[in-house]
Amino acid sequence: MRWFKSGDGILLILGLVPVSIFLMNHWPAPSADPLYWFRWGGRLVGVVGLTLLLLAALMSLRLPRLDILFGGLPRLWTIHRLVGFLGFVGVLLHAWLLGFATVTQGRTLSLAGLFPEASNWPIWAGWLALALMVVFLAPTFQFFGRLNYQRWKRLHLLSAPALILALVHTLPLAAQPMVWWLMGALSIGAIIWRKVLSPHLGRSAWEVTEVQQLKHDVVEICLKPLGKPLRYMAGQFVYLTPKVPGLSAGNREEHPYTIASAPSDPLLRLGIKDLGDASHALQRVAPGSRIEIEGPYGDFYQRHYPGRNQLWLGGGIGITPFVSGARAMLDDETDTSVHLFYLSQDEYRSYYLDELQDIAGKQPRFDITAHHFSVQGAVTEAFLETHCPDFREREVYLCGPPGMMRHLIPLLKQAGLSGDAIHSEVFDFL
Amino acid sequence: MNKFAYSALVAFVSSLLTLITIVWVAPTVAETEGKVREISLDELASHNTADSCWKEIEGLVYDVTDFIDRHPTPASVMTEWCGRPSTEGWVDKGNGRPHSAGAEALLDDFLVGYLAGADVDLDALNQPATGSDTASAERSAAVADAGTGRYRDGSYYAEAEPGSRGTFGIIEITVKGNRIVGVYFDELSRDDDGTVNYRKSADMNYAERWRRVSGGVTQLSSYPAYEQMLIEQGVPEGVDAISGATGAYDAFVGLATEALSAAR
Repeated sequence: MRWFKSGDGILLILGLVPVSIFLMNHWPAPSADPLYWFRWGGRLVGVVGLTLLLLAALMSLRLPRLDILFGGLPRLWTIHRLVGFLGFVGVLLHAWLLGFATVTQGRTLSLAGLFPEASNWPIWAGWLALALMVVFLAPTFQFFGRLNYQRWKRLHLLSAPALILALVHTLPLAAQPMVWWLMGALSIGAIIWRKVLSPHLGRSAWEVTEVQQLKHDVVEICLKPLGKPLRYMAGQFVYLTPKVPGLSAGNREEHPYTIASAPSDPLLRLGIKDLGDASHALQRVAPGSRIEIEGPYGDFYQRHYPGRNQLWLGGGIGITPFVSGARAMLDDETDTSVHLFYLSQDEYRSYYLDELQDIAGKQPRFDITAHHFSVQGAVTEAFLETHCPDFREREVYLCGPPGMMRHLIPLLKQAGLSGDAIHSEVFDFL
Repeated sequence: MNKFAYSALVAFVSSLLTLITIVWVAPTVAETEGKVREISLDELASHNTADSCWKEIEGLVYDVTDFIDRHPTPASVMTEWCGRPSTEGWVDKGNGRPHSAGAEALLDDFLVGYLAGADVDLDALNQPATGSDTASAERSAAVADAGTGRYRDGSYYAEAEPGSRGTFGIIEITVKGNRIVGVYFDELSRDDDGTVNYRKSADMNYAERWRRVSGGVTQLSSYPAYEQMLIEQGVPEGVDAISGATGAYDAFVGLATEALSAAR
């Protein structure tokens, strides 16, 4: 049950409430009439679908540290997507089943059940909610080509009116509307917190003290707290919002960046690679600039096997959580040993390598092996074995570009590691 | 997951289009025998549960058991009328509004007979229906026949439940020689002792407020117009709504239908 987190249990219980209330009120009578089952099933999947959509909205809450209950924000987002999509499919099935159930009204075929006259507004509210869902999911389906993150985020806000319309559709028809009022209030409240309140209440102010150029396209930004300092764990990340009017792009936009500093560091350091407009602009941000930070999020170094030593595999800008972890090892008092494989294209692409090797010199429980793809080819099982003979008995942490993950995860499983001993994080779409 | 949801959307849209096409191509599935029979009040009363729910509406008896689940309200709203004359619940859904024309078209499909003693046109009802349009056309023809030829002489009165402001609609209809010859429609309210202390047709302040909203028409001319139309047309169905006075139209038609059900 390692894959089951306590937060999942909370969601499960919340989700079971409306479904049980429906079943208690509408326990099916034994019936040989298929239309009866279409109607009953249609309403059931409607209840399930709306419940899932409300839970998905609730999961957009994004409170620092609360995400640990769900195994970190990236996992919470994965559940959000899964639950949202299942809810969407539930809603489709709901309209489909009821559509077929109402078409034969006695001896005539009629679409009046699906498309009633305008005065039957709850039904039309349901249709409108579905239409809005299709609109805000359209970029996810890539109807209009590759999606732009900021535009996608704005479009996703349509989920709020879609939910309200879905509630308008449900409340007048439900036998026990109270549960929908409550869950609706929770979910809409979560969206309001996230979109209206948290930009003012959930962020703290920081000042850029230094921008260290690590390579031509990678910087480490050092931030000094203007208010309370941040309490975080190694491997976590934050949302950064620049408040720099002259910035070439991304001013007042939030983007996630991984913390590179150790929790004991008075400064907050973020490793930022030039991967898009916003991160490009940050390469040249001036010391003294004002930055807002929301977080911390994530649970990168969660332990499933607390007794085991660790194997770290980092590549590209995915080395950042390991930099944080290695820096933290300097004042770490546990007896866990760590072996870090730093995978990069060539020596030039190995930023932070000097510092990491320096830490390995000071901390006997920390070892590092650099691997250059252009010289040594892809990492093999034998390569891991040579440099870290007991890698199969370790708990593994991976972070890097998708290609690296696609290569390494099957390799590790082939080598006999179980899936729950492998932790990986791709900040693909947060 | 993206692909799965996307496929589900495509499948949904396709089957919906299929459904629409089927309904468009084949509006009639099967024809039941067009025979209706006489049903006594006792027989009607024996079907008074959600498992077998019959209702009398304007003289005709319908078996609406299968519809309880489909009705867009909690089941109790429908089942409280099972086994009873239910015209009242039909013309006033509880909010002062009658059921829609769409609902009326559905109702035809549940017809099982007519209430003993009710004055209905059996020939029209026993015509096998060839489609929902003709069925309801025949039904309204039957009503029209009843309207012009089958009212009993006398005066008929109906009164609505008081609304949120405490006022209630009343109607009085006088029939002479099978024809409606006089109609009075108004909204009144009573004080605690039951004395009528308000008559909307005489409330000029109300008319001024109404005029500002409607841009013209008020109760001053819409009430007499509805009364006049009912006299000329002979049936509530013949009365047309006046733009700006549709609320009064709903109340008028509902009350006229109720009052005239006693005249048959």
